[in-house]
Amino acid sequence: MNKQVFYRMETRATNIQSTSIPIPPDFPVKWESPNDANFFWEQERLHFPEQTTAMDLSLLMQPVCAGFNKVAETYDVPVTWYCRHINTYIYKAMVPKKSPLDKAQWTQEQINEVIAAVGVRWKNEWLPEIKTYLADWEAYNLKGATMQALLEQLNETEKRQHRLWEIHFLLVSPSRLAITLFSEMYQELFSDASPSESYELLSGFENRMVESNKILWELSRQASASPTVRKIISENAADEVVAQLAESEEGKTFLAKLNNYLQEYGKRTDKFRFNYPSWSELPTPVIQNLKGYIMSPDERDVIADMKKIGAQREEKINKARERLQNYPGPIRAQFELLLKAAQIGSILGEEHPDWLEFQPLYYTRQLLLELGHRLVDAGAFNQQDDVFYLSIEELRETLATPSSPLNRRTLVNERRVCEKQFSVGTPPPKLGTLPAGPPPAHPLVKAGAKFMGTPPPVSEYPNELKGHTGSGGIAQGTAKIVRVLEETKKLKPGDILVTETTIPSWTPLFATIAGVVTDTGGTLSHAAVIAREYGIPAVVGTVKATRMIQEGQTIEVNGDVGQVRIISNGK
Amino acid sequence: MEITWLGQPDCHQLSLVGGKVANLSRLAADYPVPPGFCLTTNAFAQWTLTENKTEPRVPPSIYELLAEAYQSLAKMCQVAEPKVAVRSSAIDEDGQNASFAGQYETYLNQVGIDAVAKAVARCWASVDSGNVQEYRRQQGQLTENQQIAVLVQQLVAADLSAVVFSANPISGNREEIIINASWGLGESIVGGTVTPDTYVVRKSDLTLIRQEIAEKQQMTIMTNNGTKEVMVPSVLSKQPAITKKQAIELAKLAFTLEEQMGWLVDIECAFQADKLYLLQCRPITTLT
Repeated sequence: MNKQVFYRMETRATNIQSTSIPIPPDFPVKWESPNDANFFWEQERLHFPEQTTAMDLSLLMQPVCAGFNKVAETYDVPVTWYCRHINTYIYKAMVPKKSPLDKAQWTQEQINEVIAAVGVRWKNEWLPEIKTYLADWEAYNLKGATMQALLEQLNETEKRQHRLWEIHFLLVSPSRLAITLFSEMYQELFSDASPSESYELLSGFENRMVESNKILWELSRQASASPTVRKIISENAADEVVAQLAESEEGKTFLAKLNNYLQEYGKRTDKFRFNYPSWSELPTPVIQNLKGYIMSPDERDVIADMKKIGAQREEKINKARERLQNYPGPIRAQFELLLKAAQIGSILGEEHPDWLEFQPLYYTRQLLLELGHRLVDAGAFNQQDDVFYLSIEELRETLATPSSPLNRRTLVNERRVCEKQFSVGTPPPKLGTLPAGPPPAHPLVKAGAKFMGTPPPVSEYPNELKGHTGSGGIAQGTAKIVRVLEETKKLKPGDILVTETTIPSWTPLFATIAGVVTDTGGTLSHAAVIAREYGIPAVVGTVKATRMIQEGQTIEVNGDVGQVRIISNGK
Repeated sequence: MEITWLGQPDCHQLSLVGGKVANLSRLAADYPVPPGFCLTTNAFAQWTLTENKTEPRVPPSIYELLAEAYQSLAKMCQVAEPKVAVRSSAIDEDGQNASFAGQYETYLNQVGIDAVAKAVARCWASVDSGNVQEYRRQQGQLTENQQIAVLVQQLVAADLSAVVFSANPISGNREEIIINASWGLGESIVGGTVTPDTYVVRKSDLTLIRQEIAEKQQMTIMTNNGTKEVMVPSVLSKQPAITKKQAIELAKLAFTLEEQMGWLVDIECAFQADKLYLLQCRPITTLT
């Protein structure tokens, strides 16, 4: 064909309707690389619902992506994760990649081997490795180190974060797969079961999360037993309680117990980012939870309730085994393998965050704060937390000559202005270009989606909202919309918590409420798993519960089918 | 005699027990055939169809013998009430010319003497059924004086089942052994409700030359007093039901049987806890 026709065809091709997502005018995007515009970016609302800083991307989200990508290689998952910090919000793209054609499909035998090994590897390999890093961080003398030494510790810390997130995915990917496969098999074998029933066979085990909540519960009982302490905790604002406790003997005794608790479990934070104190730095969230517990009726025995969940689990398992007794040996063997792997996966799902996510974040924050402190002294920063407003590359650049760091005050100020600018309004949930097709059908991708959540079906009724079944049962109660930690104080026993996402440290509250509804997450997310441990219904991943449900409305949460109904308006 | 046991010489007699049972009996000596006993044509001779056809019953004398034999079987299987298959064995069935396979009644998973006796009586009553009369007419056989024996045999709670042909029944290739295997009891394979895995083994050196793993969506399992067909969980349906080692073991069995019998064989086998059982062995009737 002649050149002219070819040129015309080419031009026509570029006029094809593109599926690029329009950028809102109040959210200007400067892509890091031109190809970024072709990816499908979503704001990572499950872990980073609020504004973040440059260091959050460097030392939290980037290690997450690197860890995932490394494990994806190992397990032939044809997806690469990318992350960007856009106008103070973290966006993630999960980009499909071509799988080498000659890679054989995984057999069930191979999958079985991997998922059956998780428990042993955690105990014998990964947890010991994690503990050596934690011990090293704990022992490191921040105050006494030179600037050069601190820089080396910073580099070492970055390396550790990358490795820790690799371990994270080595652990959670097969775990979530085991749970997904178990749940599917259960559903197929017992088609009369409700969608949430299979998870009851996984609940009621000890894990670090549950353990720490139990101890907190016991602390609350001790606090209640002393009229002085009870009065102080109930009647003062959460951030004034510690000071008040220090003024009486009984209060001091209780404070000592509280500090023991914080020593063990306090390296946790309510917001998964650096510029926010941990519980041990500022115990207000713990006091908040104690207040909630103290308000609970005395007859409520959280420990006994949790034991019941365990007993119910065993009963359900026995029933299942009875129904399967005539099935071929290999079918029963596969069921038992998946049951065990799913149980371990479920336990470790709630065991690992403290070891793999919160404690490393705590230690990294302390190191950064020390660097921030030194850099204030050196005139590079105005205030200590300026350090969080740099990326790690920028921080290294700052310290290229440790004795005379670069002045970053202007840069940090610019970023703080940017932060203020984007503190109003909602960031766009999606950016870039819509995906060309469905995600790859790799079992680990499917299982991952069960954690992150996928858009639920839309209800045809105006007072109804659909989500994923998280935890079974039906409960009615007053809806309380909770966006930030302070708002948890409005929760009364029997209320329904409606929130965007729950990170693990909010979960002690689950002992007092009647149900949970979330915007984000899937059946395997923390909110769902913890709700199961407390035996309260949960509907997760509704996308818009916090916008659709109003404070004070009476709502019904149906965890069996994944549905929320607004029954009546509040007064 | 009215009752004879698999493996005993008098159980090898065609005229007493029919082709299917006679074959099995001869095999029981050298092969892992589940234990069982046969009600012979002599026992059948003592039975007449009563006026009340809805519930055929064995005569009291036969019932006693049956109970005694069932007790002995219980001791052999080491359970109080063994689960058994009650199968008809036509006296000219499984001869070289025609296969009566599927024409007479079979009752799977009968437990307890009452259920067994009932099943035996029903087998006897089925001799008069229309299907069989028609089939016999087609084969050019006499419709009077039909004889029947009934086999009561331990039912293996098969984890895996296989049907093996010592020649390729489609292509006629006598150098190939064909195995169809699937989960659960063999009824799903024989009945055609499942697409089984297929293995092709070269007869000369017993090497596996081809396999096709199918999506096995159904399987037959035992219930408390019978069997039922259920879905295979999708986590396993596309996985091989048997191992390559088991495939070769099956091929070897078919080959050995062919050698011993002197004809091409069509056998039904089961694995239970990795132990191989031989359930049936017939000549392949569809190849010349």
